[in-house]
Amino acid sequence: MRKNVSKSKKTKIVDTIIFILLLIGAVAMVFPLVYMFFSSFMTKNQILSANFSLIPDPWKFGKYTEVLQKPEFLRGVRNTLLVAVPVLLVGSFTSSMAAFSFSKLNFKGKNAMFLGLLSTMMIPFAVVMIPQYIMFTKLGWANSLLPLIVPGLFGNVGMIFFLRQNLNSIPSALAEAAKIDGCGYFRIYYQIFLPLMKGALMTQVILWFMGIWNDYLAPTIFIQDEQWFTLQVVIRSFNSYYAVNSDYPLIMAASVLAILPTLLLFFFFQRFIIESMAISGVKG
Amino acid sequence: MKFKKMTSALLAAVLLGTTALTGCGSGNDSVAEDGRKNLKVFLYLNDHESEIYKEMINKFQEEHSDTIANIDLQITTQDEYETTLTGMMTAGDMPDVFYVGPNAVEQYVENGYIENLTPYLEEMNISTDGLMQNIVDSYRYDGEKTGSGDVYALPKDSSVFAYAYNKDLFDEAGLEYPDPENPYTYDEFVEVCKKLTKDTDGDGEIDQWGAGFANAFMLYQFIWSNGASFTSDDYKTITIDTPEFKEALQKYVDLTLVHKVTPTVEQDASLGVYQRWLSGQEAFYACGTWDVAAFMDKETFPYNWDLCTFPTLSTGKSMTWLGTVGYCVSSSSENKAEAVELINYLSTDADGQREVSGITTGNSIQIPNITELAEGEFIEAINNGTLKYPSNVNVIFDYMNGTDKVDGRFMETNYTPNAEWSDIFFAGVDKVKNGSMSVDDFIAEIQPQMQEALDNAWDSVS
Amino acid sequence: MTSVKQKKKMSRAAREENRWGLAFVASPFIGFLIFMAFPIVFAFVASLTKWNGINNMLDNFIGFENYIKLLTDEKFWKVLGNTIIYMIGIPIGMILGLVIAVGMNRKIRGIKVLRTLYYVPVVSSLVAVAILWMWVFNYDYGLFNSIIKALTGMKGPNWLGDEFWVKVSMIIFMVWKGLGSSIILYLAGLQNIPRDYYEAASIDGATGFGLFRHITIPLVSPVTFYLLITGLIGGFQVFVEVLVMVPTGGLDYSAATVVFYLYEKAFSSRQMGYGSAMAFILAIIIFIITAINFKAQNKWVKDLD
Repeated sequence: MRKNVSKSKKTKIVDTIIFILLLIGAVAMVFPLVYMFFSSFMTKNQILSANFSLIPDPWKFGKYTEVLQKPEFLRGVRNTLLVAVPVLLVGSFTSSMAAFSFSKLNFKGKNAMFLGLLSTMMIPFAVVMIPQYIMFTKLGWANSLLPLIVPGLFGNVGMIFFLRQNLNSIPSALAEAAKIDGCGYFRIYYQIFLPLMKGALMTQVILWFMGIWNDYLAPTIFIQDEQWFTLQVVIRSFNSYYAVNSDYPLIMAASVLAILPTLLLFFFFQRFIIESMAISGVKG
Repeated sequence: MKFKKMTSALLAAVLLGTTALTGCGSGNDSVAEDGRKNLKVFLYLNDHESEIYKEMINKFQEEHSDTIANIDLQITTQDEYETTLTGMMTAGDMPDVFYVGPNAVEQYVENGYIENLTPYLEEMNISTDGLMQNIVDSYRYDGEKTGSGDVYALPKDSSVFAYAYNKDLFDEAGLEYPDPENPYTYDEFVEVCKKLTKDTDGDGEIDQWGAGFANAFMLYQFIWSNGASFTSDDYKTITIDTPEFKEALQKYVDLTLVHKVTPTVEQDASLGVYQRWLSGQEAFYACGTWDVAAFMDKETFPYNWDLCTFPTLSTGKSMTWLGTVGYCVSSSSENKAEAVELINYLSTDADGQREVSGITTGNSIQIPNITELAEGEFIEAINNGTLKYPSNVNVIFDYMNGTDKVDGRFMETNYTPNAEWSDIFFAGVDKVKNGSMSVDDFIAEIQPQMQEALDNAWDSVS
Repeated sequence: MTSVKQKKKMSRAAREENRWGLAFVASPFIGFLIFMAFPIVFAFVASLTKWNGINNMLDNFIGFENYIKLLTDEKFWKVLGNTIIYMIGIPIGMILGLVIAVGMNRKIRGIKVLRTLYYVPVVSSLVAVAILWMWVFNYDYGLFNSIIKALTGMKGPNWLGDEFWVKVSMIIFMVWKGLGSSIILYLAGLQNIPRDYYEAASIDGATGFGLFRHITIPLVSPVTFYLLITGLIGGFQVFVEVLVMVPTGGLDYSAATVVFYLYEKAFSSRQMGYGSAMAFILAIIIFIITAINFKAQNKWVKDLD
C-alpha cells in the first residue's frame, strides 16, 4: 500500500517534469507564429528596431483593414474558393465511388488498377509539371482556373486510399445482402455506403480543402493571368512587393490571414484530422 | 439502361464543372459581329502606370469606335511578364500588341513573332523623327544585327539609371554637394563617402554609410568606366578576365572591404541597400527615372535629394545603363493596321506623354519619348515647380545623349538571347564582396561557367 | 443441368458487377491516364530533345545528349548535393518526434493541448510560414539573432546569406514544419504497442533506456519506415520553401535544390527538354531509393501482427 502511494507520487513528479519540458517545446514551436501575429500589429519602426520586442507599442490595427481592402487579396480568396468548391464537390463524389468499388466490388484488374493509382504518389510532380504546363497552355487554360480544377474533378488518390481503408472495416455482407435484394450498384453506394463513410469522407474533404488552400506550386506554374492568382500566390507577391518599402507589418498581417482558415478548421476538427493522419502511418 | 444513365450523368457532371468556369478562357475573336475589330493588348505595368495607361487606351478606343469594338488589356507584373508571354507563344495565342526589349528583337523577328512596322508607318505617314533617336534605333533590325534597318517596335519608355545623393546627410556633415557636371574620381568618391560613414547614435556600430550598392544594378558603372565589359563586342565571348575588368571589380568590392563605406553583405541581407537609402542611412544611391515620383514623395522618402553622376574609373567617363521597352505588333495579328495605330498612339501621343512624364500630373515615372516635349515642356514644368523633380535633371539627359564626361549604354544582356550567364556572375559575386574569395579566384572559377551558359544561349536560338 | 444454369446466372451477375466496378473507378483512372501516364511519356520524349516549348519538339531530337550533359553539369551535382544535405532533417525530425511522442504517451492532463500546438505548423500555409521564417532568420532584425544577441551579446550568423548557414536554416525550417506529423504518427504507433510487452520486459529486468531501445524502437519501426519513405520522396522534391525564402537560390546557388534548378531551367531559361531530363533523373533516383528501402525493410522493420 505505502509503496504504491510513493510510486504514484514519483510518477506524478516525472509527469510534471515531462509536461513542463513538452510545454517548453510546444511554446518554442508556436513562438514564431505568435511573433508573426504580434508583429502584424507593430509599426514598421518597431519591427526594424535593433532591440527585440514582442508586444506591439503602440498597437496598430490598420494593417488588417489595409490587407482586406486590397483587391488582389480578396480576388485571391475568391479564386481559391472557386477552385475548392467544384473540386471538393465533384472530386469527393468520384473518389468515394471509386473507393467503394475498390473495396466492395469485384472486377477485372482491380488490384493492378489500385496499385497503379497508389504508385502515382511516388511520382515526383516535377516529372509531370512540364507536360501538364504545356497541355494547359495549349488548351488555353492558363488564363483561367481550369488547370487547378479539372484534375481534381477526377478524384484524389489519397482520398480513395483512405476511404477504401475505412470501407474495408465495414462488413461486405451489407453489400451482398443488398445485391440479393436486387438493389442497383449505384444505390448500394449512394444509400448504404456513402452514409456509412460520411465521417471519414468529411475528414478527407477538410484535409483536401487545406491542401487546396495551401497549394502554391501548381497555381504558380499553371496560372498566368494575375486575375486568377490564388491566395498563396498573392501572399507571395505581397512579400516581394511590400518588402521594398519594408512594410513587414502588412506582410505579416496578410500571412496571418492566409493561415487563419486552415488553423480554425484544424482546431475544430483536430480529433478527426489527427486520427486520419495517424492511420496513414500505422496502416500505410 | 441504368448503367448508361449513370455514366452519362457522371460525364455531364465533370463536363459541367469544366465548362462552368471556361467562360474566361480563350475565344477572343479578332473581329466583332458588326465587323469592327477587337484588339488584345498584353503589358506589364505598375499600379501607378496602369491607371494612366488604361485611361489612354479607353480614350483611343473612343476615338476609334468606328473601327474598333473592344480593346482587351491584360496587365501583369514585370516578374511574371516573360513567363506569361512565352506561355502565350507556346499556346499559339499571341496578343495583338505586347512588349519587346531591344534584346529580343532579333530573336522575335527571326522566329516570326513580330511584324515589321516600317511599311505600316510609311503607309500611314507616321514619322518617328520626333522620338529619341538612339532609343528608336535600338528597335531596328536589318536582318543581321539590331541597331539599324527597319523598325520593329516603338518605345514605350526609355529610362536612365542615374546616381543620387541625400542632401540632408551632406548638410549634416558640412560637405559640398557633388557637381552634377563633373563626376568624382574614384578616390574623391571614397574620400567623400568616408566622411559620410558614421555611427550616428554612438552604440559602436556604423549606422550611416557613404553609399549602398546593389550588385546587379551598380557594378556595370564601374566596369564600363574602367573600359571593360562583360562580353566581347559581338556578345559571344565572356571577357571578365581582362585586367580592366578585374581592376574595376576590385575597386568595387574595396568600397565595402577596404574603405568600408557601404553596408556589408550581411547587413545588406538583413535590410536591403534600397531600403536603407529610403530610411536615410546612405548618402549615395541610384535613382532610375521610374523612381523619381517615389523619391519625391515625402511619405516614401522624407529627405531632400538631388541627382548626380556615378564616380569614374580609368577612362574618366562616368557611365550608366539605359533601359527601354517597346510596343510591338504580333505577326499573327489579324488587325495589324489597327494595332500599329494603337502603339503609335501609346508611344507618341503628346497628351499621353505629358501624363506619364508628369508634366500634367506632377508625378514623373518616365521621361517623355518625344524629344521636343522632353527638352521643352518637361524642363519648363520642372523649373516652374509644377513637376516634382530634382533640379539636376540634366544628369538624365546627359546620360541619355552622352557628353564627353558622361555616357549611357545598354547592358550586355540586352543583346544576348538570355541572361543566364549574367545570373551566374551575380549569384556568386557576394563571395568577393564579403571577402571570402579573391577577385582572381572568383573570375577563374566563374568564367567557364558563364561562357558555357552564353554558348548555350546562342546555341538555343541558332 | 441446374449447376450449369446456376453458373451462368452467377456469371451474368459477375459481369454486371465487373462493369459497374470498372465504371466507378473509371474517373480516377482516366484522370490518371490524362494527368499522369500521358505526361510521363511526353516528358520522356521531351527529355530527348532540345525543346524550348515553342519550337517543334521532334525536329530537335538529340537522343540522350541532355542526360549526358546533366552528368557533367556542375550545377546539377551541386543542387543534388544540397538536396541530400537537407535530408539531414529527416533523422533529426524522427528522433525529436519519437522522443516527444514517448513523453506524450502518458496520461497527463492537458497533454492533448500540447499535441495540438506541435501540430499547428503542419497545417499552416507553407508560403506564409516560409515568409515568416525569412524574417526569423533575418541577420540584423530577425528573431534568432535578436535572441542570440540578447543572450550572448554576440552577433548571430548570417542565416540565409551564408553558404553554410543557409542549409542549417532550411533544415531547421523543415524540421519545424514537419515535426508535428512525426509526433502524431509515433504517438499512434506507441499506442498500438500492447502494454504487456513492456511488462514482460520489465520482469526480465529491463529498465528505462533498455525498454526504449529494445521494445519501443523496434515496435515503432513501421512508423519509422513510413516516415523515412515519405521523407525521402518529399525530400527530393523540396522546392517551394527555397523559392520563397531564398528566391535567388542563395549565394553561389548554395540553397538551390534539384527541383529549384529544374524549375529555373524549364520555366526561366525555357530549356524544357533539359528540364524534363532532369525530372526523369530525379524520378529514377527516387524510384531506386524507395525500392532499396522496401528491399531492406524486412531487415529492421518489425511487424506487430
